[in-house]
Amino acid sequence: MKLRDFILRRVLLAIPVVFGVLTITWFLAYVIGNPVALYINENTPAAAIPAIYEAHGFNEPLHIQYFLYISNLLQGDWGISASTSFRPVLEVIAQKFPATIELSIIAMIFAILAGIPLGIISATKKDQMVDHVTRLFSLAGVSMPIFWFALMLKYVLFYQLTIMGLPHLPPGERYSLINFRSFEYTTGFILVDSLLFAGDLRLFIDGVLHLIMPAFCLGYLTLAIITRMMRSSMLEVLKEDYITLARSKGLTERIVVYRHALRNAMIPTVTVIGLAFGALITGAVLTETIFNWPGLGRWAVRAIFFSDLAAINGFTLLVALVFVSANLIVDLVYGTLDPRIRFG
Amino acid sequence: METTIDNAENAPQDSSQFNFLYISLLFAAIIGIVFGIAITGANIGVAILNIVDAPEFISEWGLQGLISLVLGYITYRMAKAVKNKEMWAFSSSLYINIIAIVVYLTMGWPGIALAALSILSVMLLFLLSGVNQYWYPNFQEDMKPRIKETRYSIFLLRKSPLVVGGIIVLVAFVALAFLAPVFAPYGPEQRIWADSNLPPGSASTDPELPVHYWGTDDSGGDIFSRIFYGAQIDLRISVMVVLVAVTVGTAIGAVAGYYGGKIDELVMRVTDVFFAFPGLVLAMAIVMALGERSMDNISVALMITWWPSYARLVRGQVLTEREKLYVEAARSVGASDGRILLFHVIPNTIQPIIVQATMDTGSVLLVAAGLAFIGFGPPAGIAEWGLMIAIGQNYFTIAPWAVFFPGMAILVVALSFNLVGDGIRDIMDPKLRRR
Amino acid sequence: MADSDERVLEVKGLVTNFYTYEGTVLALDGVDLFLRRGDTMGVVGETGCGKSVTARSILRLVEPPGRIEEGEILFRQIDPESGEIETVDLLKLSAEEILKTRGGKIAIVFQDPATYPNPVFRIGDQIAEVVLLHQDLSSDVIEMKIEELQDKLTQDVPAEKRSQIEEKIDYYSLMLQEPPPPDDKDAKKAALRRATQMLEMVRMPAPATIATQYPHELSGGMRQRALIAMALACNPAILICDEATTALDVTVQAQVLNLLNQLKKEIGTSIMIITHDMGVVAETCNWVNVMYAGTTVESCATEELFATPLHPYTAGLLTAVPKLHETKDRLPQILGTVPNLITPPTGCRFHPRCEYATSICKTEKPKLEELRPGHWVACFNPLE
Repeated sequence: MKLRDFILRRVLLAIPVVFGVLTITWFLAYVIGNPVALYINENTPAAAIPAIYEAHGFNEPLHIQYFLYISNLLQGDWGISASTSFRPVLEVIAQKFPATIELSIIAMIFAILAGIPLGIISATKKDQMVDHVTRLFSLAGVSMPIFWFALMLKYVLFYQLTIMGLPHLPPGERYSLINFRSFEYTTGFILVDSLLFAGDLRLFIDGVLHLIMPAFCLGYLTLAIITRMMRSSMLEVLKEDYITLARSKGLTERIVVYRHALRNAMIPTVTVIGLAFGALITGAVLTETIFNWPGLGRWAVRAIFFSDLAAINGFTLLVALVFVSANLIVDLVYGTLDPRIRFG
Repeated sequence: METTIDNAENAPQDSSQFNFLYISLLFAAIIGIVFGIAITGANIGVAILNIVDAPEFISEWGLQGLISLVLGYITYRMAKAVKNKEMWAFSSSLYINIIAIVVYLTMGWPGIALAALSILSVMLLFLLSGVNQYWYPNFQEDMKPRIKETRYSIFLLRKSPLVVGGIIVLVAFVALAFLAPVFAPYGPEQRIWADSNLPPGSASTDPELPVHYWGTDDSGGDIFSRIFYGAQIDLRISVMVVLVAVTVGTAIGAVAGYYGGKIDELVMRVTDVFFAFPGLVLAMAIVMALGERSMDNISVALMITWWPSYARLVRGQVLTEREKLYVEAARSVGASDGRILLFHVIPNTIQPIIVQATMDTGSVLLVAAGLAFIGFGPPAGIAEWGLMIAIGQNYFTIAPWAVFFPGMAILVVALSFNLVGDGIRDIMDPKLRRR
Repeated sequence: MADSDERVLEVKGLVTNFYTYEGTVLALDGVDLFLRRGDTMGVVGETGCGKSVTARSILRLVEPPGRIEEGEILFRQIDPESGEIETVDLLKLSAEEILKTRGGKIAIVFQDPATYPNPVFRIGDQIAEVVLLHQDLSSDVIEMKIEELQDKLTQDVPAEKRSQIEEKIDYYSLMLQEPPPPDDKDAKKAALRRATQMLEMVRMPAPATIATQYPHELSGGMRQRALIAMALACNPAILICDEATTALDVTVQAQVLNLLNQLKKEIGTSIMIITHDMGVVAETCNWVNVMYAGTTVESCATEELFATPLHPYTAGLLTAVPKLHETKDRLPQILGTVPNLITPPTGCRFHPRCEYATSICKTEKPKLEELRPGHWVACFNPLE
């Protein structure tokens, strides 16, 4: 019961945030930008222009246009993407979302699985060689221009290996289009579709191979963020009195760290993981561009070159929604980790 | 405090020396203010009203103009305090004049002329024996604990070679960016078409011209030279964005945290909204909305997306700080809210801001380069790191160096900022300090 | 050697230093003390005199930059089978052996009940953890099973099942004589059962509920009791209370002290109480060690200390304690301040503050000597 109230309250709190996001996208698109440009170009006959203005409500005062925009969005009309052969934005998003989410989730899993142990090792071996190396590695992750890193990875793991005639990783796309020409998505997640619907293990392996480079590239930044947070919160926790108590019980250092310290140190780390999910999607924009990943990020970049405001706004809004829900999930996890936080 | 009184009694009664200093400071103040008003006014004119047809250096010095306006005002206050022989004014005017000298020196020949008065003031502070005897022993006494702390900081610093490395790299990069016109063998936009896609270290096809240390790009631009010219653009953008974001964010966050209530609620909701956008995506939308794709618009977009994180940070700090006893004490002696915020609360919250700002300078560099890479930046041909990578990527397989070196430059500079930020935190954080 | 046999713990010439940037802090400079079996011994002294460092040094819990440099910490335990006394030097034990001693044979209760329990684990689990680590739970498991079956018997069960259950009980009772090693799940359950019993023993109301609660749900006094329960869970030979009652209200403090004295009788633990409060010492301890700036200055029975203190520092400390039946405008105080332990005074560390100091005090360090039977003092000019 309490849990439900908690979720409800969090959702209610998220509403003004989403509303603010809507307002900003509207402001950018309809006040600074020029929404009319989407419907009118040099070839539009001058006589048709007033009708277009009328049809899309551009003659109305600004506040009416604002309400029109909001109500359209709520009704599922996110506009039309000029850069994607004039298909509705929501439809394009629905089609491309799984690709981005699959990549992001794999990257996130990699970042968490590698980042947390690295942070712990770095903290427990503070000021030793392992710590210095880990710190440099994670700082490099935070300072890495992701697009450049992706290019360099591609150069080494695909291009150079190919030249040397060695087995290499695929340079882009979600699966090799030549080998699996007849494959059609069902859920949109290649790892799921290949096993459950196509029942093709080779396709699954192919999908995994295609995921390795982009996911590593994308996950590196998050990995770095998690490692740094884990290290500093672990260092803080290891100075706490309850760690001394745990040691005074005669527990081995291993148990002190992994049982008593870890759970406490995870609390701030989980918050950071939630925030990092936003950064992950930002990174997806650049990664997808370089790895030809048919997801939302690449779509958004293309939309920009076609000045396709409806698509950009749709993407921005979606990312904001994902971010808000990621944080909601984080709050729930937080509650299970820290008994001092009560739902309700 | 006791020594202050002692010295005041021992001081020579002859106040002519103090008047000298007073006049010198007053002139420095007036020049700073006049100069600041002129530049800032011209800039506002150019930016908003478009009425003044100002020469280019005016907009280039926009930042210095604002700073000298503020410095001028502070110097004026100090000149008055010096006349009344208030002890604090002497050491403060030393600091302020040094800052002013540095700021003026970034403005070429006219700046050197402007700096002369500040240099004179500093010299007067030390050379006039009466003045010197009046404040210097006191100052030395005050500095002792600080010197001790600084020594300890340096000791801590020396223990972390990574941080020292970061500082060295940063200083080197800034210096090289400034000196690019002096040592770079080629110009930033100079193209030798015959030299296109040459590997690092190869000689130019024209025997008259110098070697291409880091190779050339597809249009025969010298990568080595372009990277250091590019540093001018990229470093300036990162620093500018962070400075503006810190100033705006600190002001808003401090007010929100100090007054609380509805202002606080409003600011927090607004920052919530900004946090819901990932920086790059919002910046993309803003650049789009601003119309023209340029480095300037990228920096405006980044300023808009970056201030909320400082507002949050400062607000949190101010919230804890305002409950402390020294704020209560300041209030009880009748200090105004503005004074408490500016002179008591903000200085005590500055440490995490500095750390955050240092690290963010690296992040801004990454995002700005990323935006330029996807195509929001200046048109092709300009020496900017993100753009260089974007163009190099088309010839990646034949000329990987055209991608490698600019990316390394970004990585190394961003890494250095992060290293230094990390180091400052470890050194300045009282929690980590004495262990 | 009968005299030393009854000393369950004996610290000789303990030196612990902290290596900081400012210099080496000579925190303990030859601490000598002993704890007799069944005694409650107090260690008193001002803040910063090294009481807590002594406690942590005994368990080898001193963390970097601190390091134990010299000395002996002799722990004499009675072998349960042969009844013989076996002496070990805790400082010479290997890392694994000291882990067995910590919590199992020597337990410690720390000062601040607010920060010492781990906030994210239930009280019961935290106590059970230490039980699982050090105790053989095999007979507990069997007892627990018998109890469960007996519980079933109290309910309404058909006669034939009843006889089955009774048979099972008999079977388990036989097993009690030589209980087999329990599996993990049973052991955990038994440890939790023991934790609840411990909470009951420290007079917690509703121990079963408390065991499932988190530290933040308890009051300070309750948390301190839980910490005591945790420390006593393995029937340690020695219990060290490091300012265990300082953070508590006076009334709660009295309860906890009473509890400690009662538990001592029940379990037979020897207790070492570290405090700066002379009142606590007078109330609970029968032996006192007075520490000053990292050295032991006086050691004797409590009554004797209060009646005839021999060290000038002790005397000063005692006159600084307010007494109910006297009215004074000002409490007398010991002049001067606690010395800086990076550059401590030469010779006797107390000499700059001592009104009886002579030239020898400045150059030579006094040894702890038995000036009267059962009364040790480290002073060249003891009071008579």
